[in-house]
Amino acid sequence: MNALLHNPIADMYGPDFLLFYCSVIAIAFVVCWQLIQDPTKNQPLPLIPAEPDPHEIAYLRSQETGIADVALFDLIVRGYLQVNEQSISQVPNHPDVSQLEPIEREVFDRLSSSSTAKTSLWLATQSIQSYSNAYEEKLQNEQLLYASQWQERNIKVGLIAAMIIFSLGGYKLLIALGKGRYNVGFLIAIGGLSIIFLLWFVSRHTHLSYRGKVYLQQLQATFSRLQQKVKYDIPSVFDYNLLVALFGVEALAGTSYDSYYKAFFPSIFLRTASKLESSYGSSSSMCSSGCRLSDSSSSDSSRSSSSNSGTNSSCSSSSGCSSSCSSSSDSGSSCSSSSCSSSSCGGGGCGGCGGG
Amino acid sequence: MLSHLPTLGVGLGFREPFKSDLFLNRQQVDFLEIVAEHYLDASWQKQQELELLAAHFPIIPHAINLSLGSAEGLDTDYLRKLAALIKQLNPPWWSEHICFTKAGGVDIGHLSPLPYTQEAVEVLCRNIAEVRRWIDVPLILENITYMVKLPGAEMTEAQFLAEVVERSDCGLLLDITNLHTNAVNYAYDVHEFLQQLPSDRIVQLHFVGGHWHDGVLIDSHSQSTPVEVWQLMEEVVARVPVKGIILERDENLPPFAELTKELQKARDISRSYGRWG
Repeated sequence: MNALLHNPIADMYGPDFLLFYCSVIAIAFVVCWQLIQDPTKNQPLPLIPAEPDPHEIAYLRSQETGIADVALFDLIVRGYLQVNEQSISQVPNHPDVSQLEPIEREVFDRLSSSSTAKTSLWLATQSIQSYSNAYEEKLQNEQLLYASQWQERNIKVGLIAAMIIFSLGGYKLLIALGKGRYNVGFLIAIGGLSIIFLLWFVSRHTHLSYRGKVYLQQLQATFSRLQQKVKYDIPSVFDYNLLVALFGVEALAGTSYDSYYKAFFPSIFLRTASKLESSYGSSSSMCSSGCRLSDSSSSDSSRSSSSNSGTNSSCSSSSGCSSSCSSSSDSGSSCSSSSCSSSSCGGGGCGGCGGG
Repeated sequence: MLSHLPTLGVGLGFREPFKSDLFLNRQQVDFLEIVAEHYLDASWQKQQELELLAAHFPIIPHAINLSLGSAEGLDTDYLRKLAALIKQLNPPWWSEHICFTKAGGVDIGHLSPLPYTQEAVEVLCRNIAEVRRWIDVPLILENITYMVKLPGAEMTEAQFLAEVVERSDCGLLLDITNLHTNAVNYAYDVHEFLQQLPSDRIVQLHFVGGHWHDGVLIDSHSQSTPVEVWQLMEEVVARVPVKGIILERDENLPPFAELTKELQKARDISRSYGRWG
């Protein structure tokens, strides 16, 4: 008993103990941080598949909602569903449903009546649960998702560290109170806050493992050009699906499926539109960041370089963007340096590369 | 030594604008050629890009600014960076141009032709020997186009190319578009030219289309491959077991399907002569 009441820690002068206590907390944090490292951190990334599966990528990015997004949008692109302002409904004379994949058929059948975009997405998400399990399992096997057992281990580590901090602080608190010292607010605050922070620290994680995050970033970087392709080129249904899988519905802003984007983000659209109207009047021939005043429904208009074609397209033909050369038949005499940078000219002008 | 190089097939000169399409059509591209200069002082993003490409394709570095024809010698700083890049990629071979791009410490920014003289051969061989002290990966040399014929030639261009690759023990990267362009602009017989080249040293081909400007054919890498170049490819592939063929499109990029169509055509030509499966 005497040893419990009189030992180096119990007899330690208050400020010295606080310093010691802070050191213990810091060490606990460092050890915790090391022990809860994602085990996939040093693993090589999987190769990008020769035929990427948009549903799988969509699950990687945003789980069931991602798959539902892709399935919904795919049905719209292929003429099974239609968007009317904020609602999504079946097209009366839609193509033959036998051409649909099971996952798409489920979504299509679920959307038998017209509903808002958000509700449609919720219904689609409900209908693809059984399919998403298969994707989850596959991605889990590839260690691209954060495993539940890693989380359990992290919580254990956190609780042990919290127990150490709590025990040491609690012990000193009891000793102090026993000695009639009540200036213990700082000790309680440090102990309490550090435990709260520690438990938050060990329990926070996304659905992706480190490997999954980096792999998704690699996929997004690899296919980033799809964002330009759907605006200025002739994309396929697959291109669209992959775009939505990788970047979400937001990537459709300014494309010929802008109306679909607006159905999901009406508030953003209306807010930006009113801002633009108040600033510039109703004609919008400027480059902005992803909203349009004119509603383009034809793919032709979205591919044109005129000013009504959306957010970025008016830049495309005038500002000498990096892709400007791709539409110029002149081999670069009018190119900016960007075009040359990707050519094999020896750092010189375009066109006159002399034979590279 | 060159006969032991691996056969790579038909590939593309990598350009960032078609990266997405490239990965969506991987089966149709056997290997990639990268412009070495894009990765010498690479940003983190470019380094990531290079690693991504190297993980998915065999890569051949294609240098532009080494200036093998510079009488003053090579830029060792540049050479060190290039050596590091080639070491990182460990390719079966790498390539440069038979030209000079630097003179008197000034970067011309242009692939400039050399006079077809013994002195120029000596300069090239001396510089290539220096390169070999840094890089032990086989080097293949490319013929260039030129807007001017330098006076004082002691031999033909074909003889000059042959002498350089023989004496320096390098392979030849035969750019058949450059060959066609020069033949058109200077009215020489391309078949006779081919006869003078050491066919056993031709390792790789480049092909693409250029455009006409004021009656001159410009090697702008901006058009689809003309019929004359396809015929040249047939002629070369019939004679030579080339290890790789690269489509080198830089500008006025068409839909990727057009590029893969050209790759398939080159592949069909190669297969028709039993060059690879």
